[in-house]
Amino acid sequence: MKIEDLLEEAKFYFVSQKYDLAEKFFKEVLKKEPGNKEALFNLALLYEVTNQFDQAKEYFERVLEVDPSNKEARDHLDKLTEL
Amino acid sequence: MQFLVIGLGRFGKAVALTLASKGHEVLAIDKDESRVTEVEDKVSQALVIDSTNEKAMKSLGISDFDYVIVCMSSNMEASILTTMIVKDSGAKKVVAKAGTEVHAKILKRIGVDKVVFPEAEMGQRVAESLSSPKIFDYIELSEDYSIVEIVTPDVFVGKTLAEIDLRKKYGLQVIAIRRKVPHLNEDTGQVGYDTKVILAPGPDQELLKGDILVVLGETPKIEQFKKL
Repeated sequence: MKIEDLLEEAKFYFVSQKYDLAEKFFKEVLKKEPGNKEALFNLALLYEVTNQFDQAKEYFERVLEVDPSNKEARDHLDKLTEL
Repeated sequence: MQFLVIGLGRFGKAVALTLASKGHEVLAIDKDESRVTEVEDKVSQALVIDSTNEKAMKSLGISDFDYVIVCMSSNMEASILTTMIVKDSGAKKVVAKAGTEVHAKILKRIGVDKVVFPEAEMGQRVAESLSSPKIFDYIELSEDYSIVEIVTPDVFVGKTLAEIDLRKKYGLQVIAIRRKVPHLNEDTGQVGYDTKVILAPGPDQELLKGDILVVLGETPKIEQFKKL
């Protein structure tokens, strides 16, 4: 499967609240392209939604490694640190 | 409603600004001018007044306020004197912040309607939440009963409230569920989420991964449940 298709599939499962499947597809993307910003961000968001904050922080940090000026990731990370 | 907030340290400032943001009429006072300046644009009125000055305080029309909140606690003497002045001036309801147990006891004796102990209460909440990473918040209702916010244990994910039957098995009542609901923004293709509160959830309510259960029950039973 192409990366775009995997991302589509993952996002579909994410909004359908099938979190295990969504996680699996986002991770597939990262296997093919470890620095894929969209997969990293969405995976972080998925962990935030499911209240797995340590993982959420780890992935938002990875977003900032590939895109240091990503304001959205920075905002999420700040919010998670305040919890 | 009308509120008089006395003392604009961190606690008093937060009280004044939150009340004002909720649309209440707030008069905020402090003897320190810089603290008054910090809030003057955000509350109905802010004045530099020494709250231990009885004459100045009486000129405020204290009996017109629905609540008087005495927020200074580091200076116990000033807090007690201020509380006595506002009580004497006909305050309808007085809430006061205490710094120590002794301070709290004195405030109660002089007729404060509610004593708040933010450091102690927050300390207890932080300790609860750190001792069990699944606990988000903790409120002790009495010596016997508490309310906790707890992440749904994995063993309950995918099950309905009827199936897990917390009332029968643990004597606990789920009073609400806080859930983050993801959605797709059609324009940007980005996923976002909203937080939804399901109040008094029915028995058919299925639990999802990440749901936060707001649970009420006897404290020892809550302790048992936390171990799941």
